[in-house]
Amino acid sequence: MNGDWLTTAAVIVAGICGLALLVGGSGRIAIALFALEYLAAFWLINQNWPVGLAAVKLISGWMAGALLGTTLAEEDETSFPSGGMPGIWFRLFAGVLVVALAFSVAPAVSDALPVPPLHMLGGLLLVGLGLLQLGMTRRTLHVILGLLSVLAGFDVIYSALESSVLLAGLGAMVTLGLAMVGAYLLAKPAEEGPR
Amino acid sequence: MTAPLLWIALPLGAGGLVWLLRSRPGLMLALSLLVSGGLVVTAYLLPFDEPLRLGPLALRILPSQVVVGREFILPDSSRPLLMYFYGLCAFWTAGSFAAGLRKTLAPYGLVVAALSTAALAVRPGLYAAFLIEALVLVCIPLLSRLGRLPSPGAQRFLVLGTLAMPLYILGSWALNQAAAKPTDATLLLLTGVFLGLALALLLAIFPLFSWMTMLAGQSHPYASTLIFQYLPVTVLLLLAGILKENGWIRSGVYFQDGLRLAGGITIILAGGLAAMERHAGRLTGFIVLAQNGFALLSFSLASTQGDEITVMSFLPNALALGLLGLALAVILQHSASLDFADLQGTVQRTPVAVAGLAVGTLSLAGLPLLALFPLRYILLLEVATEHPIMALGVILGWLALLVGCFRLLAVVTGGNVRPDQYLEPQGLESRVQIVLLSLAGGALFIIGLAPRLFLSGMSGLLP
Repeated sequence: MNGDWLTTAAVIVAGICGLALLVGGSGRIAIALFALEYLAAFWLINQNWPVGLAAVKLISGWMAGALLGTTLAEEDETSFPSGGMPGIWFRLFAGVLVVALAFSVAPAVSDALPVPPLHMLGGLLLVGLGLLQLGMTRRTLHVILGLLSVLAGFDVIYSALESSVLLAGLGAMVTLGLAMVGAYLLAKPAEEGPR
Repeated sequence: MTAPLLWIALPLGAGGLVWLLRSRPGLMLALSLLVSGGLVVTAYLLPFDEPLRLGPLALRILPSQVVVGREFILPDSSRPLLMYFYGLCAFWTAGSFAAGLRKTLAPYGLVVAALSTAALAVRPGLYAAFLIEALVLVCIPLLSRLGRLPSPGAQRFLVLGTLAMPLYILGSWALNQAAAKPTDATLLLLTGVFLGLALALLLAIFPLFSWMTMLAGQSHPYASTLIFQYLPVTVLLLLAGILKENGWIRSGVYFQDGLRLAGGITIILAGGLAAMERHAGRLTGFIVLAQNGFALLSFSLASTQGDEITVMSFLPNALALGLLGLALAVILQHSASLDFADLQGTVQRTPVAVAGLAVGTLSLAGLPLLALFPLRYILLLEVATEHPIMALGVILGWLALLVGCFRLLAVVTGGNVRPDQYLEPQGLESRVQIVLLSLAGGALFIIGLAPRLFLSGMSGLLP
């Protein structure tokens, strides 16, 4: 019962974090939300995988967030989402539509793939909101976070299908590789200091 | 000594070492050519899994290597593939100085070739998804300079290439399940949807083709043609491997129709959009898109003849694409951009590059007497036998592609030339550029004149 309650809470946290990431905000807030999202994904994956394997996902996700955070430019730390209030409301509305779609599609997909319904819902929320984020922004940080969210959602779904140490490790490497590419793309040229 | 160690680990390590030598471009080039050329020669001379005597030493190249419980297998029959991949690496690296990428391309050529080889060698094939994702990630620094915002094309390539990975993994899982229960319609549907989407993303099949044209239009042409050469070839060979291991797929109700439709629509769309395109880089993207469409059309044939047609087109495709990339790179060094407005009268400034551009684009477009025409002709005959309407559509797309190429040539050889442009210096290519362009163009002509001589051995690339 407690486990179900916690799993439900993890799904709700994943959805709320995905919606909040859509709204945008500063880079620091985005990375904090991303870290919370990965914590929720870790809990969902932990239902199917041993805690050690699930922890690999969590740690790789947090390391990715830390790597992206260290290369954030000053303006990214304080920038606000484009489009003002109408833009925020539009993105939220689109996010709510995706959430509704995930709720409606999850039972049918859960029949096709042998994945528990809550896990399927959590995975679809992460994938759907991540894809929406990818379609709505060209800011590098948010693109990378969107990709990592989609991969987290995929991990939640796939963890119920197969348990493999090598897949977990390779997935973690891809997560870190994406973060490194993101750090490369976010890096600014070094400025000459005063003599 | 194992083949994966020699043809995967060694070039990966060499690529890393070459990358550290960026401050010495000459040494970078020499080392890359030495490694890639050496690997080609080694693949040609040394058989696998046979004892070799080198004086007092006895050597045996084993075909498989176990890494973390999974195998990388390169059997003796894969030697043509290794020669092809590393020969291309040497070919692209040799042109990197002339193309203006002297400090960047050499290490990436080795790493891309090694990752492509690894993706085809890994067992089970599920793990190829990670290696292809690694290939996508590795290519990003080649497409985007440090300290500059990434181009939308590079960003889209990263996004769509990464999205293909989970789809491929899910598709492979569904395929394994379906192989055990081939009558389960749900599993077959899941296999088709997931694997189909993954392959469509990686091959830029309609409607998921935007990354290819955006990348071609916004990146250095020589760098983008390297990616357009390795990524589609690797994915097509993966598809050939999947079809070989799971022969029941070919007999599926929707398999041939689906591939034929996807390939045909891609060709028609690519040709139609190419005919209206006004940027030489994006035009290259549409040309490559059409190649992928023709490849899918070949795979849709009932027999394995289609697979052979596809692999036989790899060599002329590679030469033409390399020639096209180099020609555009040389032209770009003497033009503001690759937009048609800036390319008018380019033939005065870079006549040899324009000649190379003509040969490259028309070869890829399949003009008669050039290298790809015989293969296109055979393919269309096969398709027309059972699906004449699709063949008609493909011919129209093919003609539209030719129109696009001729429009480009009309611009570079004529256009509205301003009076002051007549006073511009002419023949600005360096000797190295002239030699490389001439060699590649000559090779294409020779292959076109004697295709049986050069292309019949390419069927050894099939898994």
